[in-house]
Amino acid sequence: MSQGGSSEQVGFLRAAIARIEAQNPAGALAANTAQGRLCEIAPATSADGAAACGFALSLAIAAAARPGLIVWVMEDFVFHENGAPYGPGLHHHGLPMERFVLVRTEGPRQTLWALEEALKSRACAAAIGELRDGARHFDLSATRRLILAARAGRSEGLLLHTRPAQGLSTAAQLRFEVSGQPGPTLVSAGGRRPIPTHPAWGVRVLKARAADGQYGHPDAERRRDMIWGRPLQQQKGPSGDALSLGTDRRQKLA
Amino acid sequence: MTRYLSVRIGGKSSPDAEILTPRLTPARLADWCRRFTPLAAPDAPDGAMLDISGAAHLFGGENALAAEIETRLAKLGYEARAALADTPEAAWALARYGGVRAIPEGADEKVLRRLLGALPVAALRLDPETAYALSQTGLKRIDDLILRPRAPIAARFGAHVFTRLDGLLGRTRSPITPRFEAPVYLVERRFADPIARRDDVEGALAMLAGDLTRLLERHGEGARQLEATLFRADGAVRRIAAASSRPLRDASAIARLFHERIKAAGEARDEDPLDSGYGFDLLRLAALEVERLGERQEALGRQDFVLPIETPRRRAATETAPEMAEDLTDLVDRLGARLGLRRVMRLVPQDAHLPEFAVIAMPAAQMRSGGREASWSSETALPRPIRMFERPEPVETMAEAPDGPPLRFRWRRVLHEVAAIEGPERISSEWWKHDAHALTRDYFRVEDRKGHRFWMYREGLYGVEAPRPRWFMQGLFA
Repeated sequence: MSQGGSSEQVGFLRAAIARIEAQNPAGALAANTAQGRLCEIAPATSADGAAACGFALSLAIAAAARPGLIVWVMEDFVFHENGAPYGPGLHHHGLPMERFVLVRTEGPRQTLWALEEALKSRACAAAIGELRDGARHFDLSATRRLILAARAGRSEGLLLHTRPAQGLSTAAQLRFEVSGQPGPTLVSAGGRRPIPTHPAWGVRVLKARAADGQYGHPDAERRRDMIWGRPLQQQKGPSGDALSLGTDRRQKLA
Repeated sequence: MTRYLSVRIGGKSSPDAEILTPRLTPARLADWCRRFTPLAAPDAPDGAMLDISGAAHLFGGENALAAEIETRLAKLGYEARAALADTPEAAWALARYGGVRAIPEGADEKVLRRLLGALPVAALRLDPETAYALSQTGLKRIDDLILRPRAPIAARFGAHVFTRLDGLLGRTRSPITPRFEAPVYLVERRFADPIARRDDVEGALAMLAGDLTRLLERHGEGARQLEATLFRADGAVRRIAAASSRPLRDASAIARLFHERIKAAGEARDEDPLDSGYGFDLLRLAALEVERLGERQEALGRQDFVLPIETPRRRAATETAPEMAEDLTDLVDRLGARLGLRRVMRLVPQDAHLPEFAVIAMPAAQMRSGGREASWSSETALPRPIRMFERPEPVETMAEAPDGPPLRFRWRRVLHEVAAIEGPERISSEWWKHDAHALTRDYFRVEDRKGHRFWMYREGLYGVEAPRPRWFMQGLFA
């Protein structure tokens, strides 16, 4: 057997393993973030901005398992229009606030620069960049730079789009489309309407690519529902297919 | 002994002066004079006052200094006259009316009277009316005043005549008010030929940073506030300030900060960020504010390790490695240097009643060593939205009962059907602080049928505070 043949076989095997792994998206989510990567998160509709934001924060929290800052870079426009990050809410969501830094920028150029600096720095665990016009300013070369920066700093880059992502052409390894989903509720006394509890999202993995194929080929059509903030054993979405991303901190319901 | 030098700008010696240089206002002149001494005050309307104590010898003595100032200003196209004395009043008088250039150091009153006595009373820096009135009464020269009884003159022309006279003769001491405080540490570099290229300027700043670092090291301190002053050959002065979130004593970090500042200036103006023009002939780097910094550890040949100071932020970061804390402050400083300190923030909880005041954003770089900030409690908190609107947005609601929770609502022109709701969480206004008219808010956590979560409130108690309470959207949950 030639060298080429064996490497082909290895390649085939890898692809097969990746396919199996792809069945378990938790693998993709909890994948080795220590190497540094770039993810993109876009809302499914323009009303899902907050859901996408919550999901991005959850990824940041997962990345914060390693020490370092969590930097959120945000344009002034987004800050005024889509709402400012609210400390007590972020704290409640599970973000380690003493490691959180909010950076405000004037435009995409500064955003890109700040993101790159943050990702590159060894002091940063995750950097979220909230983009107003992501499809225009964050093209292949810009995102490629960010990936290199993330690799250099071994950090998690999260590009959060404020609008549904159409016609995106970026180098990001993972792309998620997030929509808000009715979450679990508690029955309220007196037959009134139920009480909302935890946030729930529907997540579609639109793209999962890496040099070594570690994320496999996702089924872009499949929507996975996840609930944030419940203990793992209770994690079961309304549609029964849960993502095990949440590691829970507050067991208020239990 | 303090020595003062007064500079007075006369007319323009060359018709091109205006074209060659920006107009030399007293403030600009004072800035320009800071190349000779850090203590320079503008002296309206036509000059500047310098405290040159301990600085003259750097320029070859007092007379040489005065001569240099005069020739340099002449080159810029201005006729100037400089004079020296022990008091600012005497220096001022000599620069304008004087026969001699300098009054010898420590001159007694006899000498002063001989040198200044012949000057007109206007040399006392009196307003023209008073000076004219004095001369009308025959008191034309300073000598005339010295021997006269004081009371009648003071009664007629004002006591300030003698205040000035005493100052002139060194009987009282009056300090000057420098335009900028003298920095704690200052290093500078002069160039025979002005430098204009940005790389050269940055390189020179890096060298100065090295000098400054050595100075700081000797005193066991680190810089928090830095300022680079660039003196352009034609008299314009440019200042670049930079701040650090930790006491800084690392030459390359200082150089990097200025690199970012210069770059940021370039972005804002989209042109030559330094506006170097004819080039700079003097660069100066000053540490305006310093803080104690532990001794540098020479740990087995490793030189780039600085003992961290305990700060709340640092403590959080030093859980792992000290070099990470270094990277961390470095990142915060660089972002702050380029974007502005107020744009790099940390959120700090506040003990406030209203949700919008429950948190404030503080510049990350300004969190002082050993500062007392509240920390985020680890206990279970009430659910709060992850995003909050700066200004709550009005919502139209439809409810079963006028004081009940909404069934559906319209926000930003979209109709939402309420699927789940929790509330009210009543938050009343801080009546002990603000006006008593602020309305009570009833907050509701709402989830619509599509799975979007909102935080909205009803303003005013139904029927008690408001006949028809209005609804507002304040934030969004994940």
